[in-house]
Amino acid sequence: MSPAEGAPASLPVENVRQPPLEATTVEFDRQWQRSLLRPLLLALMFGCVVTAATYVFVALLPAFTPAMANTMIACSVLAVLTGCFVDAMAWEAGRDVAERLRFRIIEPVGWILLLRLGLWLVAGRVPPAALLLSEPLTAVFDGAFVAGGLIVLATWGMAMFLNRALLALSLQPDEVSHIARAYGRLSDPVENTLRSDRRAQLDRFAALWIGLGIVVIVLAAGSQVRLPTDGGGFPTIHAQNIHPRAIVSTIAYFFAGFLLIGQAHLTALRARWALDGLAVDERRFRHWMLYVVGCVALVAFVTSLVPIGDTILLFRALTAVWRVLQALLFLLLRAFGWFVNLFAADDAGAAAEPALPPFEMPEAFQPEAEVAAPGNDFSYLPTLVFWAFVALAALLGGYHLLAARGFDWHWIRARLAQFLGLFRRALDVGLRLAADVARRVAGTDVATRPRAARRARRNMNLDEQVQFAYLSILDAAAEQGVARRAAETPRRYAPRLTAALAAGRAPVAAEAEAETTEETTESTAVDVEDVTETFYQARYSRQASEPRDLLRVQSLLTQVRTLWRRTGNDAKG
Amino acid sequence: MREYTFWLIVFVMVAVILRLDWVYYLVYVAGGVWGLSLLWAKYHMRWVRVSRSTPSHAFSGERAAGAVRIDNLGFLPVPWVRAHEAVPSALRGRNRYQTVVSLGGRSAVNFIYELHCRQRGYFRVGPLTLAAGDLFGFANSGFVESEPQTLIVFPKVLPLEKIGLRSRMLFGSLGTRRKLFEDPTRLSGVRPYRFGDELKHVHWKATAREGRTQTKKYDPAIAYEVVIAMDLDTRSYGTHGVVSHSEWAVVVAASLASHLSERQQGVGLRTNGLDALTEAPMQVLPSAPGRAHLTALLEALARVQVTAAAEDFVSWLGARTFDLVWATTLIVLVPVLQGELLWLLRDRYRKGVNVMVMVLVPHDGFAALKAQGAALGLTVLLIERNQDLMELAYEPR
Repeated sequence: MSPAEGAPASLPVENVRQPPLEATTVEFDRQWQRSLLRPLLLALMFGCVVTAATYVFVALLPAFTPAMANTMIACSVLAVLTGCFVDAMAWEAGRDVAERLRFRIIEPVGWILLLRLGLWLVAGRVPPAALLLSEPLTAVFDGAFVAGGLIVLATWGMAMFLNRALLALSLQPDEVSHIARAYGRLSDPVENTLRSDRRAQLDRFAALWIGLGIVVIVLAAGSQVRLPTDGGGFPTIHAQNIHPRAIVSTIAYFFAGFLLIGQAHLTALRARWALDGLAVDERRFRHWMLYVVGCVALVAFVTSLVPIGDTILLFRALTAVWRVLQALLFLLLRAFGWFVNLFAADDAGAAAEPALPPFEMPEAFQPEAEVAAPGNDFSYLPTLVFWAFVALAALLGGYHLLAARGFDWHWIRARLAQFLGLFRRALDVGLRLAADVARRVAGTDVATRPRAARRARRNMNLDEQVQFAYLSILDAAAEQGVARRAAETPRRYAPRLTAALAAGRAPVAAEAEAETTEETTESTAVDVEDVTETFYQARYSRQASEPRDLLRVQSLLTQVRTLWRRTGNDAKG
Repeated sequence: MREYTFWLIVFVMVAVILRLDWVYYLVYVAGGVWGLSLLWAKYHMRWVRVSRSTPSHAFSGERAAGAVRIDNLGFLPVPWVRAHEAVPSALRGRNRYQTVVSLGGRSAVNFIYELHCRQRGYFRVGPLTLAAGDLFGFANSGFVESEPQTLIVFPKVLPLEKIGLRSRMLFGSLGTRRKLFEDPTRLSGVRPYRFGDELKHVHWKATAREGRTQTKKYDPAIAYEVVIAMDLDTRSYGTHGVVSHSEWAVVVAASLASHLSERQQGVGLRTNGLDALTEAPMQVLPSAPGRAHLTALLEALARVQVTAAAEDFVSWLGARTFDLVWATTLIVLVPVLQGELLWLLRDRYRKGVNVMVMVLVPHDGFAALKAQGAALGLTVLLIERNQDLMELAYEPR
């Protein structure tokens, strides 16, 4: 969507000029640092979080009254507000001051003390001074205060964290000094090596906001937690009966977050523009917050008109997927039960042992009738097939979409190839084992080994073929009584094998000398040492084997087999 | 916001698991704001129009005002637009050629900046780059102008008297204000068409026969045309003087052309420099009088650049001046005088061409060569810089 280049329309025009660099003053983003909006929105957000949390307390602890909850909320909000203001002032003075804990710890401590007083007042039982002096721990620390103090402290800490994340979006002191120096000598945009990734910072803030929002939702849902009446089991949630105030606080949390993100985005943009040497007239962006509020309000209004809950097709589909997963899990459990039943029947005797009771599907995994019926009828099969197709199509579509966007599938493909290789080898081993078992059971010498070896060799690479050939030499040598011992390395074994070959070769060589000269080629034996080194290279080095290495090992194998077959025949003869 | 998508999916899963109506509502709002931002960022540039009002010509030393107007024809506002004008470094001042604005619905801004035309040249102003985005940082959009505008900065033109050359002396044979130098009744032949030839002089029959446009050549009746030949071969200027001396040569050529054209004298230009517009050797500009021709000549002088020519200047000049008609004044601008050049110009002088050599850089042996040129009937002047030239005066023989 590109704009056209054409004749201007008759619209009210405003002239814009950029002042010269010399006339530009660069300073902290004071508008953002001294903004009342940021602390207020943060206070609203954390007020909502604490509100949702107090509903859990109210639900779980009968002694926790709404008045206590309100005190806790008020103290948390005040702690956030003061923390944000002090943070902004300290930020201007320097980051080291802002991060000094002892400089700041007095704030939450003060609000926690105020919380203590507030809780005593709303409870209507302020402990006498004598009790405070004699048993201070008992008088001060009760359950509500400890929980409230922790909440105030946690709220203050998290608010400071988010506040600093937001303040970090504006120009930093080192950036300000850098720009001030650069403006004096450059006319081009400032090449600032100190530039921080404000987009990533904003991303992180948004992620924190949504993550905390999910916690708020869970807390709000937890406001309907009811302890079991019989004293056993887990607490249950009466989901649809949540207090309206908890719902409103959750919604307010998200709306405040949207406004904050909108304003933070403008701050990040302003910092980026300042780093690029642009003087930004703040008046041009005076409607920014209006646009943000309008955008969120428009969406909120339109959304309020659409049906809520399961009525949207997307969520119907997601719910159906969820049910299919439930059904699959049920089938898996059922199959597992069948196997267990089978083994139990084998051990105890099928006739003597009464049949296991039919597997009852747990309440949580009971699929609905229209999706998957757990009975013996297979009415859910079409649904399963349909969703399998959908999943397959989605996977294929996702694969091509990501591949088109440059996603590197190499790692996954490599792992897949590795997995398939393992599977193939396991299959080969299984087939060989099955063939051996069949041969032993039938008592026949089924010649599966050469065929299996050939099949296995087809899938080998050069390194593996070299190793295979070397191991075949060892097998042949073992058949002649020159087996490699377990504690013997191939290099130590090589002289012994050479000696055995020489011993076997000597009568053949004498005979051949008498008969023909052609067979003298056979006597030019491949050096066992070379073959051993070739095996070492194929087995242990990163260097890939070459075809001539394989030929060398195979030629020794052929010589060994020929020689010992001949000597064997001579011995039989 | 890459992570926002991930968290939105997590949010959806939470809603599916909890199955609370108001959580669904929040999911819809979060997703709706996200979707609306994406759509807004994608489509709001569709209603943005860009127009430019940068001057096409300017003189060296001037400050030209450039302006880019950005119109938002839509009713929805564009939260922020960053406009960045690409301006060549030769035209940049200490201004910033970029700005950030927020465009309301049905509104426009006019981004005004200054172009510092410090040196002659052929420049491309633009393209304009627009970057915009949504309110929350979910999406960005952009646009790059497809056709940047060109700006020709004419070379500096000095009054001829200022550099010490009095026109009546230099071209003392001028008797009338307007000279007829080609007699249409005396056709001498045809030649290939060149840029600037008048249509009425095209020889249509020869054009049809040759398959390419041919222009008639006439014998001069009374020819007083001036041809300026300028050496812009890099090798002629040496290492240190390529920029300064070649620019000085262009200034001298432009000043001469302007002075002569104001007196209704036909002026032509032949140079072995490179045309910055076509990236090819500069075409020959035939002699012609008039303001339009002067503008074309100054444009050519604005565009021309020094280059490593394929052949040396003497050979090049010999091939391009053999057709000069009788009584033409040939002004040769060279950085360094060579003996071979004098002999070539001697040949032209003997054919009736009035030859003047302007040397731009003093060098060893210049005095001897100047005396040799004088002995050969040539006028050799050293035009080094303004201050020196104020004292020079040419006395015609």
